[in-house]
Amino acid sequence: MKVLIVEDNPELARSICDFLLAERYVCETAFTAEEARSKLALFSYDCVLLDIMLPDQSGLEVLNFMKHQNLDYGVLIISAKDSLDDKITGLELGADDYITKPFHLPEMHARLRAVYRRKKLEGNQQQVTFNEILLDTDTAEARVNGTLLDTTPKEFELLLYFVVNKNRVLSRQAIATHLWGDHTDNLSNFDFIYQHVKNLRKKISAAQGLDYIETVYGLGYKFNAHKS
Amino acid sequence: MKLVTKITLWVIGIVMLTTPICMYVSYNNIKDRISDAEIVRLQDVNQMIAEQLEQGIPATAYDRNSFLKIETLSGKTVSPNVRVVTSNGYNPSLHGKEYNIAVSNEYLIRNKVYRVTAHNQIATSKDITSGMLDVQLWKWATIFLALSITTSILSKYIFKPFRKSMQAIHQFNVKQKGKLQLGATSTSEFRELNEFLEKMADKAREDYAQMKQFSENASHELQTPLAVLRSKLELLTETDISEEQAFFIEDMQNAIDKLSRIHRTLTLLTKLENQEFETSQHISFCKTLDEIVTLYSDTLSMQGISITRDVEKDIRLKMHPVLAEMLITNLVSNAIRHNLEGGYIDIVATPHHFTISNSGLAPDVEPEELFQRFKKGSHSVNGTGLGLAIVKQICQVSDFTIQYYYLDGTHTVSVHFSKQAASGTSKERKTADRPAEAVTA
Repeated sequence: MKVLIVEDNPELARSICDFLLAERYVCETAFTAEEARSKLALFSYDCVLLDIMLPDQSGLEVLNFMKHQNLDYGVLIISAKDSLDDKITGLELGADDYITKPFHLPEMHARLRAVYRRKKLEGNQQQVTFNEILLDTDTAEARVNGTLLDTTPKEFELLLYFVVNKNRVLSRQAIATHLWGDHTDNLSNFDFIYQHVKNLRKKISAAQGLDYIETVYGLGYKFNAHKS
Repeated sequence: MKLVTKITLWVIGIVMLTTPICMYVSYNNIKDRISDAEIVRLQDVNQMIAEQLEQGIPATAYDRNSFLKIETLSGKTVSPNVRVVTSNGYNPSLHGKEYNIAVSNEYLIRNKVYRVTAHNQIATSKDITSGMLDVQLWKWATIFLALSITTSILSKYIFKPFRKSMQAIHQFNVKQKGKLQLGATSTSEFRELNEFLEKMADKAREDYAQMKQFSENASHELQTPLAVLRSKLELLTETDISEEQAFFIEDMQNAIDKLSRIHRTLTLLTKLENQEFETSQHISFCKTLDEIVTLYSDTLSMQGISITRDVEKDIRLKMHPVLAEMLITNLVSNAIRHNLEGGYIDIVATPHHFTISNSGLAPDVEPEELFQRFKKGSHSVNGTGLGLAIVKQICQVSDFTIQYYYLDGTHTVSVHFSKQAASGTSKERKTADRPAEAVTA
């Protein structure tokens, strides 16, 4: 996947880039709306990560530009403003999803992949597979070795999150934000997450799947793709 | 009291104060003039008599004339002075008091000194004063009439620019663009006032815009380093780290999380206070409520919390969707967090109110205090203490009233959607779901 990162803060842009490079994606950065437009005019991308608050102009102008140039890339808007109007305007102008700063990198990745899936696999079955695990994002059904798992919606989302961010350490906060959004005090009782993970692992094992999900001491959990 | 009334009363007061003084002066003036005129006339009569005496008419010829008196004086010298004697009398045939004035002159005629006195009745003080009083009453009557007719017209005309300014101030909103428009006026005080008001309004707008800009910038500026911190820590966790380091990182991530939440909440509270969430839209409260409860269905079943919902269909409210979401989310997550294992949550919603009750331990703070910012009970270690403050603020801008109380092991939060709160509805509750099952719609 080729991604254009439009973000004026160099440290943050670098963080995102580092993360995506580890996924073997190709990354380019633009620090201003102007720069973004020039890059978009010259190269093609699969997805664009677009910050709204750019120094020279609003990121929505870049969106406009893409619309006029008929550049149908997947667009994930990043914004520091928790504003509904920006969200709505962005989505109306053709953005595919929205994430607010400060976000968790795995969260950004999960959304980016979702946007990419929808764009690339239009009409076709929306599936995410890894070894014996098959996740149908249209129907929210999880199968292991062909067997349908009796997962709750939250358990499905959790498994999808793990698979998309395989080999990444997922903190409990990142998981909590992913499952319940960020409008609350995240029910900071991490016992809930522990329970969810435990239930999920039980169900996978029951279907003869490998136990890829590991606890990373003090930090969270990880889907270890190297297990055999 | 209206300004015009005050001025009118003042004018009337002045008139009433000066009237006795003027009356006194007028009275004396009139009296003197009447006397003087009569004195001149009577002197003239005396003179005429004197001339007649000169021509030889005897003094006794005037004996029968009651208005004249002629005396012969001894001595040869004539006093040139006029003698005036006044006296009050009573006229029996007229049944009234009289005021008599007698004027005497001395003449030397044919070597005899005569004193000729002519007298007459002139207006008594009573005549004068009653006449004057009459005039006063007419004067006052016409003044009052004229005042009452003209003050309302005058007030409308003179105070028109003032009233226009008041109206403009009423409609003034520091958040809207556009200058405060006040009309031109010929009254210098109102002109001064208008100039001052325009200046003040401009300054208020400027200050507000600057503050808003500042807080937006500050908010943006704060978010970005937070984003950098979080992302760098996440990348750090991907590297080779020891168990000891992992725990340091976890603490850091928790702190950043809390910072981020507090910042976001404070920003929201500021926006709410600045009324940036005004809307004329209507949202489906019941639908949002359903969505949010579904979001927590897993958590509910894991805690063994049973939930009953008594939600009427089609509850439409005029409020911003984000606010509705935050209100419900805060209250529901609070109800879960402060609940007991195997406890319950009851939700009731009608077009008039929304009530959520849950089992839980007694609060160790006064219930109403929990609505203050950063106030939280000891059971709420990880919370920011801002949840209920947000809820209260949202209620305020949406014109809802909210109550919270704790009774017999149950916390209850009740939100009434219009200032005219409906009395509690008596609806039958649906039967409670068993803990192991997912929440039914």
